[in-house]
Amino acid sequence: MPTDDPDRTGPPHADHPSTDDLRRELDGRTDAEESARITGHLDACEACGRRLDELADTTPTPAVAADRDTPSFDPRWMRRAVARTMLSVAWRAALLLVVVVVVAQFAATLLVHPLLVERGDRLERHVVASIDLPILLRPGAEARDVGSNVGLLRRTTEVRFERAVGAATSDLGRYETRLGPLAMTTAVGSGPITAWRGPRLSEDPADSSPVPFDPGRAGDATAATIELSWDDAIDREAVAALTDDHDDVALTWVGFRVADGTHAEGRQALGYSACSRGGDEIVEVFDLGTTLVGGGFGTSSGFRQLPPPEDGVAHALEQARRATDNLARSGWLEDEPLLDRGREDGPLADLDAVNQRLAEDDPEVATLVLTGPTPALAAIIADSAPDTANLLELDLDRGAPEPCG
Amino acid sequence: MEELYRAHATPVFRFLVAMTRDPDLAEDLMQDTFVRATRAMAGYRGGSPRAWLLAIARTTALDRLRRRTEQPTDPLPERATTDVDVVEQQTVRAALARLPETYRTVLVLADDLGMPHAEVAEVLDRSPGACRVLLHRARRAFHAAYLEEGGHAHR
Repeated sequence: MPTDDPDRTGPPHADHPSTDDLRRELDGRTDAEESARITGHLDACEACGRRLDELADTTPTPAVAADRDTPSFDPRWMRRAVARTMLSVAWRAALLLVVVVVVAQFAATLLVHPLLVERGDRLERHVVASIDLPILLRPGAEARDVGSNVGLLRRTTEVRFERAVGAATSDLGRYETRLGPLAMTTAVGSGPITAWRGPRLSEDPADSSPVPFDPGRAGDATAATIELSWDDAIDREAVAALTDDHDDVALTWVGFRVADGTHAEGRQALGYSACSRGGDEIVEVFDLGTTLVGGGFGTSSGFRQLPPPEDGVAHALEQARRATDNLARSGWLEDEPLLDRGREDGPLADLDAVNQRLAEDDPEVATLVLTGPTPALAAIIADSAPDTANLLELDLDRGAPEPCG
Repeated sequence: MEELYRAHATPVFRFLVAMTRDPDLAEDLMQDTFVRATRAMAGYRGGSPRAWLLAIARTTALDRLRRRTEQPTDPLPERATTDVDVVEQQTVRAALARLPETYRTVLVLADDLGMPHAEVAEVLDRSPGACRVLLHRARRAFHAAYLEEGGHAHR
């Protein structure tokens, strides 16, 4: 690149393009790289720019008349522009809102749905906690055949329990845990797999001390609902006294049977349940209806919710009994083969027997539900649970217990 | 925006007329240009406001012309006249019409509107040096076209 151009007058830029370079650039005979170098130099060097002008020797092109005056400012354009802009902004905001809502919904589903997202070891902790409880009640029991089924809204884990006694194994039954949304865990035993303080299954046959209920093994569950049943007649006062020292544990009575009958689908009973918490304070009386014995006590065609009574367990039971009376009188029972024994005398004759039972220890109150913090439940079970009680169902929960619910 | 319009409407309009050779279309594009400018205000990064507006005008005009390429782009009637000035104007227009868009644009900006190279460079988004070279090439091309259109050399 020659730098000895006689016309060079500008500041000492390096590598001023030669006249030939400028001419070739004007004629478009330079390659892209060379052209970029020359025009880049022209950006900064006015002297070379003037050399280029002289070399090109062109004159300005004559102006062309616009033939019309410049239109004057029309504020309507701007108004239209503003309106259009606002419309587009509103449209985008609406679109964004829809996207945000959809994404939030999706995220919420992911967060609460245990089948889509397993956060940490939540599932494992719950399963372990719920299968741990029956194990600790039967020392030496081991979980076998752990299977997991994914359903639409919950995951079910099934476990079979065995206990090895020497070379032989005894089958303790099946146990099922269900994990649903909102961290709800339900453990369901198949049959009375666990005796609280029934026949001892300790490794040492001579050891007859109660098996401690260890709330520490309940995982992160802080509350539980335990449903238990027993076969022997039981003193109602004794059962009612279970929760005397625990105001935070709710006691629900289930299965006061008005009548035993036979039904195509099995034994049928008419009954109710009542829930109390904090001594004699009744919280709720509910679930009046029929149930198939052997199944759970559920709502049925005869379900009726009772208003909460004002005083005492006895009052609640009485109120529930009256409701049962009314149900019997309503003719509803006529269509149901409930009262086989009392058919000839009519339902009222049987209700005398009901009253009689109410006055005595009631052999038909065979199911209890205890709901409360796991430490309190552990204390009750350790100190005063019925000897022959069997665990029917165990619900683990985190957070505050929801009694009578 | 109204202030901006009053200050720069004339060069923008002249530019649009030269680009489109159609005053009606140019008026229409005036609206579009300033509406676009209103929306693009946030994107204004300093520099000459005139160059900024002209760059928007150029984009607007090119968009429109690209959309209507199928239509004839020279709606100005070539009136038979003996008026020397009018004949000269027609020749100049015809010569300009034969040039590529970039040449036409640089001629309008630099020669008609008298903008400095730096400002032309802003409109065309090229370097000032490149615009200077482009201007000379465009002038040469115009001169050739002008002669072919039967103009009398006046350089």
